[in-house]
Amino acid sequence: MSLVFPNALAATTTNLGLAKGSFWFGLVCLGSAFTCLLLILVDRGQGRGWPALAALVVIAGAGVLVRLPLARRPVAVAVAAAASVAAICFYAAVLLPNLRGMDSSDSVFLSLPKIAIVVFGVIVARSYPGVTPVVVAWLLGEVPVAAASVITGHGFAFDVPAFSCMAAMVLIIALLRFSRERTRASEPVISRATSEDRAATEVARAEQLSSVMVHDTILNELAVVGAVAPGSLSERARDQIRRSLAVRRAGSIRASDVATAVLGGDVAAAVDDARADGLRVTVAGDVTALDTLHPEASTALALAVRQCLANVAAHSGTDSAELTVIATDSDVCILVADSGVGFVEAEMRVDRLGIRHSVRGRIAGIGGSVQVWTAPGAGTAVSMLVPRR
Amino acid sequence: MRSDTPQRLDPLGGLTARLFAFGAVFVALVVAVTLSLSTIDQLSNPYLEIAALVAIAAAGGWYVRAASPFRAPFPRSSYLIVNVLGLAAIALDSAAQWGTNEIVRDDWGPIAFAVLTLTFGSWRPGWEIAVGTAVAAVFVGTLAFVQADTFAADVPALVFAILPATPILATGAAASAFSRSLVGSLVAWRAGVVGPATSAPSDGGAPASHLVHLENHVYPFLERVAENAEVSADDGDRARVLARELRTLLVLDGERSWLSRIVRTTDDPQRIAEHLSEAQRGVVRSLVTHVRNNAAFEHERMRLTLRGDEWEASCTIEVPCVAAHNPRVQLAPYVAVARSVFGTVSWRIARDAMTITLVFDPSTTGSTTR
Repeated sequence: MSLVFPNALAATTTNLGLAKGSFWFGLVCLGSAFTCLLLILVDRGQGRGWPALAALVVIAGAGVLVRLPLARRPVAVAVAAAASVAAICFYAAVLLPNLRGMDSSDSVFLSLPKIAIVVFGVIVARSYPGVTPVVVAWLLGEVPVAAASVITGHGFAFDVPAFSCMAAMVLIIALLRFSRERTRASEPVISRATSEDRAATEVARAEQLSSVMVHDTILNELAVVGAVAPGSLSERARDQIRRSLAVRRAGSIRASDVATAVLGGDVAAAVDDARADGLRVTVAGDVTALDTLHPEASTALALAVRQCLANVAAHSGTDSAELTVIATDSDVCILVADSGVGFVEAEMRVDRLGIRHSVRGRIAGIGGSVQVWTAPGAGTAVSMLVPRR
Repeated sequence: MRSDTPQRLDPLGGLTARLFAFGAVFVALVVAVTLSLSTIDQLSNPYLEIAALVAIAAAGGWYVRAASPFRAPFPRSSYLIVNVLGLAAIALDSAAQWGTNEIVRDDWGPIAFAVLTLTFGSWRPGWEIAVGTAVAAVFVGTLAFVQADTFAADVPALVFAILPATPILATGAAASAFSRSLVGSLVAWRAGVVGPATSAPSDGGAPASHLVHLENHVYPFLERVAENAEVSADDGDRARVLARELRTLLVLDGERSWLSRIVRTTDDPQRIAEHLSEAQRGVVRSLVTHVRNNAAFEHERMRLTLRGDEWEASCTIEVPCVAAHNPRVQLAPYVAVARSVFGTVSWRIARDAMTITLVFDPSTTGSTTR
């Protein structure tokens, strides 16, 4: 998940929000004008002003029209603009004769629909970027009302609220672009940090798997070469070195299929190899449950078992081990036990990586858990619990 | 009800919005002072008018303070305080004209309040703004309604209640719709995003040392052994040395945290860095990158210290500052983003050094991938 919203999308979402907000802004203005007029008309009981209410409904309809997806088409915008001009002309013509003589084109009842038309212009600005739609919308509202006011003898008065609203919307649209460029300048750095972290996580995981594989293959081969007496190396040992080197040639020291090919990918192969190296391994329990494991879990478990048996052969001081498989509906548990010298896990040298990396690390990597029971002179039991999934 | 706000989901958007908060406060104050002076003949108590101007200034001041990226996210309490101070200004303005107010339209209180309300959409959830707007509109409408007898126009009293409430209702509805729209877009984006494409780390891409050792020394040795029929005593010695070196390097690589790869001087004895979530790691990385790329810092001397226990941990970044540079402004976006993913973010820029402390709960943000 990225930490920050991409700059490329920020403008689109803000403009959408601005358009939706403007729509409701306009509707509230029209609703307020409608309600006030209705109250006045009812109070005065005269019928001459009623058609003005219909004009307000038409302007609201124009707002709905420009909010629809088809408002991206010029025809729809033109229809909405024409309807707004016609409606506000009619509205002013009906209303002005009913206003007091001192009232002019800046009357609050005339301002409200003009403001509504201005903010509907903001909706259009979503499809036609820039401030032009807002300025045009202001003129579409202002000019007919001013003309009607002059014609009906009310004169012209500069409508400060409607102009202020237009100016505010123009400023908002213009400043949004300017300020967005400044304040979101850090977005690429933060987004890149997120993607770099993702890459670094993958690298770290690969290196962790790599170190486990290196421990199980290359370190073993070096140990064999370091332990043999000078002379000829057995063909079996040479084959094992070639197989371990094949991991490198495969180009990926962490791929489970390569691990399977080089080390033997199932528990049976691990047991067979341990037996070939002279360890007596007794197998008990529900061995068939191993077949139900996910291939990835099966490989990890087999490699961990291989390491446990190698530890028995190398460190326990005994030549026999017991391997028990216990299965439940959700998990499979393998217990590798010996009656050897045991050890104190907390006192293990930090460079003894077998239990830590090849057993614990592997099993944890597939969502399982490992427990080790051991004490000096009391043997060792390693339990590996893995989910069946 | 959803408590997400645009600022929480897009902290950088909060920086843009703060400029509009400044603008709204400026406009509100200009409107208040201008209309207050132009309607001075309607005042019955100038002291109350001054108190009203002080109240709207306080509302604006609190608003700008709460909108700071260094205090993000904008809390509900601040929204309440700004609303209460704004309504207090409206009430005081009305009281200052009580009995002498002739025209409701030129009262600055509702207009100034509406200007502030227009920009709330970036900070709070839509429903909260809707509730705040409704309360404010009823308050303003009621105030105007009870003064209806003093107004000059011959219209029903209810009209006097509706007209001053209209700017607040209109801007409140707009801000509420803006907030809901932005939150909807941001939530949809978060649900749909699968994560950014990975890019090679610019600061931690060096291969692990054991891999280099394998390529340079171990593989060539084993290839030679596998090809030859005989193994000499020297080969045995060499194999033991290589094994010892390789084992040591495996341990060192295992001990190396992701953080120590990006900042050389990292003090993290408890390996707390492993408990940072992906988002928190991203913030730390971006802060480190910012420090590296900014001339205001001596990034070579940057130091990271992680300390903590089971319940609370902290990651502290300390870096000396270069005199003649002020890093505060450029730091704002990073602090804003950090505050969206860390429990607490504190920062201090003294004369010669910057310290940022990021506090988190390691028990809830633990990472299993490292």
